[in-house]
Amino acid sequence: MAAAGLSIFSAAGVAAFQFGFSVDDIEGEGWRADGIAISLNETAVDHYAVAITVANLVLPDSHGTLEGLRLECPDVSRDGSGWLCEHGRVQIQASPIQAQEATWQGNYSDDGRLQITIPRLAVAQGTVALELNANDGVWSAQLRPHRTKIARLAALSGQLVLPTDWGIEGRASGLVKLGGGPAGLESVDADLVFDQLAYASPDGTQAAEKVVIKTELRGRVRKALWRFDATLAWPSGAAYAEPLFIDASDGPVTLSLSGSWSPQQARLQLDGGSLELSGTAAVSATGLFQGPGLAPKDLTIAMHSDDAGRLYGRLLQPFLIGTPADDMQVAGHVGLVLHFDAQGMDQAGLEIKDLALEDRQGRFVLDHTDGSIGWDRSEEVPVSRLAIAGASIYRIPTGAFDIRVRFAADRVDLVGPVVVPVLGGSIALDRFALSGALMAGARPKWQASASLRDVSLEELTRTLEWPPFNGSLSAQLRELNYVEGLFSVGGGLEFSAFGGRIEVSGLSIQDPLGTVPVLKADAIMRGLELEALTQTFAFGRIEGRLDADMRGIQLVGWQPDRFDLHLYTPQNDDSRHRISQRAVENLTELGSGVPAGLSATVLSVFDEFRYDRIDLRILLQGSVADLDGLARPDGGYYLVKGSGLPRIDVIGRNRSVAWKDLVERLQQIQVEGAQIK
Amino acid sequence: MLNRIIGLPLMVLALTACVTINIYFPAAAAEEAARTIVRDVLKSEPQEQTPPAKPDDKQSYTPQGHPLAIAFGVMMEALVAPAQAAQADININTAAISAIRASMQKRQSRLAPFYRSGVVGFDNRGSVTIRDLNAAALGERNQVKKLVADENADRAKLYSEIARANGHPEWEAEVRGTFAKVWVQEALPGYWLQDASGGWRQR
Repeated sequence: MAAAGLSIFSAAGVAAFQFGFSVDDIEGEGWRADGIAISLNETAVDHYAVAITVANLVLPDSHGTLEGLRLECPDVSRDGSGWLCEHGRVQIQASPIQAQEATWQGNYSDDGRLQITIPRLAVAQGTVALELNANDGVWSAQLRPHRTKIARLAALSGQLVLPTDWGIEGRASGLVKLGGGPAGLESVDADLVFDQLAYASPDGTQAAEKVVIKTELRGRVRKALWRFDATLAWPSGAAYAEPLFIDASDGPVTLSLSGSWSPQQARLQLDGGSLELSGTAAVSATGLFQGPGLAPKDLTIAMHSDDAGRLYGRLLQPFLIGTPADDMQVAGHVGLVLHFDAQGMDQAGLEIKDLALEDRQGRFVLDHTDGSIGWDRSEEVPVSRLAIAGASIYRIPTGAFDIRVRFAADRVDLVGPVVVPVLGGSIALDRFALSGALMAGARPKWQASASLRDVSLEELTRTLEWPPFNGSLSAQLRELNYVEGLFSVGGGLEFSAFGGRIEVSGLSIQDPLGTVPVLKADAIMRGLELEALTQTFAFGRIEGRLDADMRGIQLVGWQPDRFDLHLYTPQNDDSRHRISQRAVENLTELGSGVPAGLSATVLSVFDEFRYDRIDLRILLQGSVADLDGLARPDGGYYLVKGSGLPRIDVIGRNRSVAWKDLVERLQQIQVEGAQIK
Repeated sequence: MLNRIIGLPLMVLALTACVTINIYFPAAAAEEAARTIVRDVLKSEPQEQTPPAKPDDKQSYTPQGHPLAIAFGVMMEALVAPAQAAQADININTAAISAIRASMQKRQSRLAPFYRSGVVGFDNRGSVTIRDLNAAALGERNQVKKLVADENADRAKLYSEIARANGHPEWEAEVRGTFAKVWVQEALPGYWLQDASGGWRQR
């Protein structure tokens, strides 16, 4: 401390004692005062008027400067064993917390106890009542803020840095009790209410409106270890922290935390933490955080929800926006336990009860599902089991099935085959391996092999509202792959239908759950029985066998976009070849756009005709289909080349037709009241 | 003589320019196709009055220069423009494009209030962008994000599908550029539009 220009005067007259004292400036570590004057005037026996003025007081730790400080008490009186001031005044012309003019009371007892009360200080556009007590190094303080502006309080604290361009509003009121001793702060008790809380970041990703927060905090320090107990209730208002939106009117939010905090070791022990989102989820946590960034060293978080729909809507869906899972209806019960160590999450467990998902776009449904899933970062964990009451993909429903899988590191492996009843038959998933789905930044991909057994084509086509097929589908799907949005089937799909054999190869679907899935495949059909086929399509009866080659099939958005289809009578087919009058009419119309008009001719007396060969080629390229058949020297092409008598040939003359016209012609074909859809 | 000196390079220039357009990208046909789709999508919103399309540069061009060159230019434009349309038609009648258009039409009525309030604007890349999230109520912000994500996924699919359906997947960038221009031209009153330099203005 340094002092310069000290002056003292005193006058001890007969009537009263007067004492004056001034100091030009005093400096200490981090603070400085100048223009100091102290006066003491005896007004009566044991009654004194005291005034202390300081022109400038520079506060430590960059807390600013008090200018024009005047602390006075017109009557400091002797009261038994101490001194008392009941009507003190304090004036500060300028300070970081604005100019002040306040009253104060104080007393000091001979045994060293000091008490000062300032009932009303103007702080942060509100008021703070202050009471200080000290006795032999032990002190306590009570602050009662009332409607103080949070942003200004934060600025005053010098510790809490709030964004300046968020327009932060809000007020703090309540009671804060601090206690300490020679070593410093030892206890904190705070009951505070923050109301009218609102802010908006310029980019709109962080915002709050009319939020009310009630907090209670108890903290005690012993041997440099703080033990704390805190609760926070959020009864009203709404906040958006991208991508989460929480509106307390949907159910209040409460948080409670208890544990210990060692500032010296930068060590936070959370003995009990709970977060309750009323009606949505309850979360509890215990753990240890240590290090400069308080990284979790050993943290367990458990979550439970009896309303998975609200859990999805309030907390999960916002993170899924832009994925196929961002528009679902969800119901059921979910429990989740996560464990983190210093390297991050190392264990996870999920319990599901009566969980049901339904994509609002109608792409997939998962019926009531029960089960438990365990995951471990490094060790193998017990088998996860899911029991699914039913599901559907693109309206194709399945029966109930069970899944047993093992989740470990970034892999998911099937423990046993999954047999899914579907359309009167089954799909058996023999092998399934998923990788990259559970680690941030990794690209998910999966491989599988499956077999289809006795899947009813009739049910499949009816479900998809296609022309009905008879027969059943059995196939070995060896190399099912999904990588970066492309689902592909290595190996082939073979099945029997219409008495013949159909082989599909090169099947792939790009973006299967996207707006416009693109399916590609090749198919060959051998020895189809035309009688069964034509009855199915209500086309008019044709007998004989038919082969077909369908190359470069491309469906875009499940609609035909490209293919090269060749339908033809197999060489050396010795089956009976007959075509009905109706079929001739329909084929003629298909090939030329006009009916043959047989019913108006003498040929109308014949129900059917013999034919030698059928040959039709349709090359679809976008919106245009090119038609062709057997070469005919006199122009046009044979769709049906007749034989015997009466001989009838169906000759096509259109070489190119708009695909939509061709589809319309097919749809117009009617036989005995049936219509092709 | 002077006429020939001026006219010949112009003739060569006009022919060269037209041929180049036809080989690489049928700009006029693409713009026409884009306008058809954009108007179709935007009309899904009940509207007071659709403003006339902003005349493009070609239409507002005021010929200046030598009369012979102008006459030649006008003649070439009359002859070449229909030829372009006839030779390089853009096909937008595929099942996939129809599905995407239907999806965008369905979404338009929900996006329109956010276009008008300035929350979402038409950017200069043929997409929609959140330009002022603070103008949306807190509870609507995730809805805005989903609408924008879905709309941009559809628009991206639309551009690639048009290029693919016309046998030129490599045209995707040009298709996108064409749509970017047409969305801005066809935007309804009150919509917010981004100019080439990134600034925003309200129609």
